[in-house]
Amino acid sequence: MTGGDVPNRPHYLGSDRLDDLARMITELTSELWILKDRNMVLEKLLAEAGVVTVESIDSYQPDAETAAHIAAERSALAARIFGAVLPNDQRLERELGTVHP
Amino acid sequence: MDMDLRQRRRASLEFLGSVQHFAGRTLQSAAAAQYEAAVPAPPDSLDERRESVHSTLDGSSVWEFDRFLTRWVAEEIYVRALPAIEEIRGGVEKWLDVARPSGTLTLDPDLVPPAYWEHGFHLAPGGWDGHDLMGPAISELVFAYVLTPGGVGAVRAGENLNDQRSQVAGETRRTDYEHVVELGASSGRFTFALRRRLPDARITAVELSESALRHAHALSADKGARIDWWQGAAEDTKLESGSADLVACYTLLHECPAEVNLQILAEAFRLLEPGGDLMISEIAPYEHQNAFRAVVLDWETENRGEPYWREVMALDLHRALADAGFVDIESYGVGGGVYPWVTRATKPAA
Ligand SMILES: C[S@@+](CC[C@H](N)C(=O)[O-])C[C@H]1O[C@@H](n2cnc3c(N)ncnc32)[C@H](O)[C@@H]1O
Repeated sequence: MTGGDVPNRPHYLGSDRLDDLARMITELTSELWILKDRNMVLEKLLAEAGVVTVESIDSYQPDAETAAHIAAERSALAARIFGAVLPNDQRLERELGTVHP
Repeated sequence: MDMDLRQRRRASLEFLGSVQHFAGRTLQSAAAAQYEAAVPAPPDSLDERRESVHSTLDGSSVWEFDRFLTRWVAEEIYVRALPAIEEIRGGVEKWLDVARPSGTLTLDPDLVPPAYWEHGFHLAPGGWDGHDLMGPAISELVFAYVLTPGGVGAVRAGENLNDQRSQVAGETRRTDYEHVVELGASSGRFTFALRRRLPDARITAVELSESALRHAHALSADKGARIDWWQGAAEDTKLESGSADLVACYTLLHECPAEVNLQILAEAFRLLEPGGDLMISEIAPYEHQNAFRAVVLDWETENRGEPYWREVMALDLHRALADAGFVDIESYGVGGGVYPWVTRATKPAA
């Protein structure tokens, strides 16, 4: 029927599944961009309201406690993403390790 | 109209423009360089060129991702622009409901659009009129956010699509026309350029899409541009014979099957008074384009919802014009390049 029809969608990267994956990545990048755009808007509005300035965000130095908190989140992110190919029991174990009762 | 989109919609459409720009400028240029280095003396015929480019660039990531991203953007524009316009429907509808018109809008409630027109052109879900706000969605949002920064078809990234239409309008053979008929006007991107070029002429702009015409009519009111918008088919306008001294169209022909192109030329001939002029702007024939470029353009046929592109590009327009009765036929690139490309012809004086 229409040109938006999925069944007739050609593939461009060698296989339908590779195209599907690339579509997910373009969507993800798009979502990332929309968030970055929103973040810039937020910073601008916060600055206008006198709450923070872009400079105060840029020059912010985490204290020890905040730095540790950020580091833990960063490690968890890297482990989740690059660990996606690992066996499930390892992935579950890792994830359980992030639970703080 | 100024369409103030919500943050998410604005950012998501702007993103498409950036992706298309990157693909067109960086990836496609790299692919062209790879092809030209590998094949210094490419073949001439389109079939051989297609085979040569596709086999040479098979497995090239810049080429494959340029094509992939171009297709992705082409699909995605509707998925993003239509919700964006739905979200501000109230304001758009109010603006479309013209209080003080300039010129007229004539819709034909009995119109049965030709079947070839209704299919999924340009990958638009439901075709040209698949959504009641398709006209403003395409002409305000898609053009501004994606096509102008990103390029489309023969138009390269960053080129100003409206300037190109003004340049072409500047190529009419005369400036003292009394009645101009434009065929396939959409929401008037070229019509307004004709309006500026020919301030005293009456202009009738023919288009099938109701949503495009409503949008055009509202734009006319905003601009104070007197134009009569007329819903009808370019090949069967129902306008009076011999009533025009200029018939013009801008990128209409490649949207219709080749046989309909012949009917459109015949209709233009019928509409013109003896001595009247025809001016057509279309993609330049492939013999004026290099091999890589020709293949990239031809790719639109199967990959960007341009089902008639290939057959129309294969049409010998000069011959078709001569067969329709036109004389003084000439084609050239405005500004010395290949886009925009203009063809002019005249109906013999009686
Ligand atoms: C690519 S657009 C070009 C619009 C405009 N001339 C411009 O410069 O942007 C082609 C337009 O022609 C219209 N169209 C296609 N076939 C038509 C036909 N047979 N009669 C009238 N309009 C037609 C489409 O609805 C579309 O709005």
